[in-house]
Amino acid sequence: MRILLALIPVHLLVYLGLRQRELGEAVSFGSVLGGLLGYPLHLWQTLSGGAMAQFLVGLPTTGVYFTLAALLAWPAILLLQRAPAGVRWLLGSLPGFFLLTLAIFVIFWLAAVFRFFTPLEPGQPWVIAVLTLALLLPPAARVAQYLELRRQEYAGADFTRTARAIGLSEPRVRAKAARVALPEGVSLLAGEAFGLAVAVMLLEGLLQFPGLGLSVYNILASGGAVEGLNLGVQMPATQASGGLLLLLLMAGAYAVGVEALARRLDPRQRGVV
Amino acid sequence: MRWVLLPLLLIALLAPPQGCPRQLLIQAGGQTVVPPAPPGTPGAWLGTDVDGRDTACLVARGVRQSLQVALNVLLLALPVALLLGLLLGWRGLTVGLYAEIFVLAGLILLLGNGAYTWVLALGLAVYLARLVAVRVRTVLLEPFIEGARAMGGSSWHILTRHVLPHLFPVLPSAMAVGIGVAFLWMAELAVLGYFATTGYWVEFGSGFENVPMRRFMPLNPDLAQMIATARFEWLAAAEQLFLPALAFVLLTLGFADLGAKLTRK
Repeated sequence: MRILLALIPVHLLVYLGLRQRELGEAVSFGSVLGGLLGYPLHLWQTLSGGAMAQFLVGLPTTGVYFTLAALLAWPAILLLQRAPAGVRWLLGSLPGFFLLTLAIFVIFWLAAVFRFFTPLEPGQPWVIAVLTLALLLPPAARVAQYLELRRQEYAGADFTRTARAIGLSEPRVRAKAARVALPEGVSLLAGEAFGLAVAVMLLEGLLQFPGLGLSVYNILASGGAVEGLNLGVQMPATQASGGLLLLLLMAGAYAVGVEALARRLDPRQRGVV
Repeated sequence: MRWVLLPLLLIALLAPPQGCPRQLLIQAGGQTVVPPAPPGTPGAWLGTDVDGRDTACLVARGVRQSLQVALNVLLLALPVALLLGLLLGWRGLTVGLYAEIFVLAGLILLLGNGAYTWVLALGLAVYLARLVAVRVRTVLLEPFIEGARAMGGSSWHILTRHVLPHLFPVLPSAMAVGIGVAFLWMAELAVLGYFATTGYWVEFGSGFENVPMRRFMPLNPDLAQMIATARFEWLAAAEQLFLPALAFVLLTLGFADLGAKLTRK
C-alpha cells in the first residue's frame, strides 16, 4: 500500500507538467494551484475508467515484456550469483538503454546469419526472448550483487560463527546465511519494478512497438525540449495521464506482491521490532 | 574501469572550446565530398555528420559537455543533499524516489526546458540525501555519540562536531556515484527528447521540392543528446551512434567503478 500511495505524487507531477504544456504558458502559482485543486477529481475520473480505458488495449503487449522479464529475473538472479563478480558488476552498472540497443543489434545479426529476413515485430518469440533478456539482466545483476554482498556479510556474523561452533556443516551454514540475506534481495527487486517499467517504455518507444509503453513514451516525448522536434503524440493532459497511471499501477502491483513476499520470507519473528 | 576516466578527461580538456566547424563541402585527397563523409575520409578519419562537422571533434565536445552538465548538476545537488541527508538521518526518516524518470520528466514539463539542470540537481539531491542519511544513522549509533550526549552535548554540537566530519570521507564516493546516476538520467531523458542544450534546423534539397527536407542538428550536444539524435539514422551512419555510445558507456562505467573503489576504501 505504501508503494501504491508513493505513485500518486509521481502521477500528480506528470499530470501538472502535461497540463502546463497544454496551457502553453510559463508556470505560475495560479496554474499549479488550479492543477492541484482539480487533481483529486481527475484522479477519481481516471481510476473509474474514463481515461484509462483507451490504453487498456496496449496493456497485454507491454504486460508480456514486463511479466516475462519480472518472472525470469528470479532464475537469472540465481544464475548470476554464481557468475564472477566482474560480470555482475558490469551488467548491473551498464545503462539498461545500451543493453536494449545491443539486443537490437543481436536481432539484426541473427536475422542476417540465419538468412531469414522478418520484419522486427513484437509478437515473434525470438524477438521477445532477446529483448526480455536485455530488460531483465541489469536489475537481476544488481540484486544478485547485493545478495552476494549480504550473504558474505552474514557468513561472518556472530550467529553464523555460533552455528559453526555448535557443529553445523559449512554448506548448511552458507545456506542459512543465504536464507537470511534473501528477504533484503527480494525487497530490492520490488524497487526495481519501476526501473523495469521505464525500460519497457523506452524499448517500445525506440522500436515503435505498439503497446502501453509506446503510448506513455509518446505522451512524455510530446513535450520534448526542442520546438518542432516533438517525438511523441499530443493529447489532452486529462487523457494522457491515464496511460501513465496504468503503467505505474502495473509496476506497482508487481512491487506490492514482491514486497509481501519479502515480508513473508523474513525469518525474524513477526510483530517483533 | 576507472582508468578510462583519465584519457576521457584529457579528450574533454583538449576538445575545441569554440565548437566544431561546419563544412558545406569536404576537400579530401583531391576530391570533394558532400557531407556526411564516411569514416576513413582524409582529414576526417572518423567521418562527419550531415552538417560537415568532424565526428572526432563532436565526440570530444560531447564528452566535455556531458562532464560539464553532470558536474554542474552535482555541484548544485551536493549542499542540498548534505543538509537533507543530515535532517533525514537525524530524524530517522527515509525518502524514496520511485520511477524517478517520470518525476524528472514531469518536473521539466512543468517548469520548462530551461530548468533541465535544476531538475536533475533536485533529483540527484534526493538520491544522494538517502545515502547521506544512511551514513548519518550509522554514525549516530557509535559509542562516541552516546558519550557526547552523556557529556551534555547539544544536538548542534553532535551534528557539527561529530556527525559532519564523519560524512566527509564518504563524500568522494557519493560524488562519483552521483555523476554516474546523472549520466544515466541524462541518457533516459534524451531518449524522451529532453536535452540540456538546444540545436538548429538544417534544410536539404535541390531547391525544386515544394517542401524541403528538414533535419534537427544539436548545437554543442552532450553524448546523450548525440545518441538520441543519431539513433534515427544509425543504419546510414552507424559511427554517429556507436562512438558517442561507446564514450558514454565508458564514462558511466568509469565513474561507477570509481564510486565502488572509493566506497570500499
